[in-house]
Amino acid sequence: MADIDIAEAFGAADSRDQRFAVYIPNKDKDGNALTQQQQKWILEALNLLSSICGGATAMPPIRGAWLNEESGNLVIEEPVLVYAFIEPDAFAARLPEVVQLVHKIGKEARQGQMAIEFNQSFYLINIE
Amino acid sequence: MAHVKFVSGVKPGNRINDTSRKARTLDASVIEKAFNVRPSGSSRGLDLFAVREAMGKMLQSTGGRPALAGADAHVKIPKITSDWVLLEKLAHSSNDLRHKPSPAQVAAMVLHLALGRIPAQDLEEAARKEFA
Repeated sequence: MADIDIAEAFGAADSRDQRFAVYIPNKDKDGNALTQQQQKWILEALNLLSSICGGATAMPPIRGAWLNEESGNLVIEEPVLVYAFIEPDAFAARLPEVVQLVHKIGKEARQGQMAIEFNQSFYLINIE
Repeated sequence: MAHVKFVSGVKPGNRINDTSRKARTLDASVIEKAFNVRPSGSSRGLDLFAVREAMGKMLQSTGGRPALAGADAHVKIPKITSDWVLLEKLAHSSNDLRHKPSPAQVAAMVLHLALGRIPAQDLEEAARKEFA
């Protein structure tokens, strides 16, 4: 195994290894399309995460499925994953804003649950 | 028709060990408290949430001690004390499941899921090369 200081080799000014990601839905919990609203929520997430972390990334739409346990219907959707690599202090300080945005998107999108990832763990947040 | 055979040639030693200074990290409990949520899954190593979920689904009660569905025989295997302590902790942390698993049932599920993570072809090749 070769020992290499990757940060030094590339002259990195900063290194981060924790990622926060939020799945931005394009359908509500009943499967109704929300294509235009999805673009607005993507921009809101990119703006907030960039202002906290110095930058953020939106992936191309990915195909996913969510089982609505109330109706029994499987909702096939194309969420967009927006993520940023965090700096602990800055992210913790503004975490309430992130929580607020995730819940706001969840409510506007009529989601049963919103999905986030942190540190390679996956969380489902119930939306009231 | 030509067939392409994929062979795993990656050896554990052929890796770069990044010695960069490790970035400071944020404890996941901060996120969990803020969102008032517990993880539903993880891609770090063996997914213990999957173990727990599978235990919940596969433990069936027919009146006596709940049995693990699909487990049709008991075998004796060597018990490594340190592993058993962890299995007991996992079983204890599953107290809230409808049927509480025994450490042995947790062990069976961890083994089942761990084996499922190894591609079938890798298992076949390993068996051919290492155990022939």
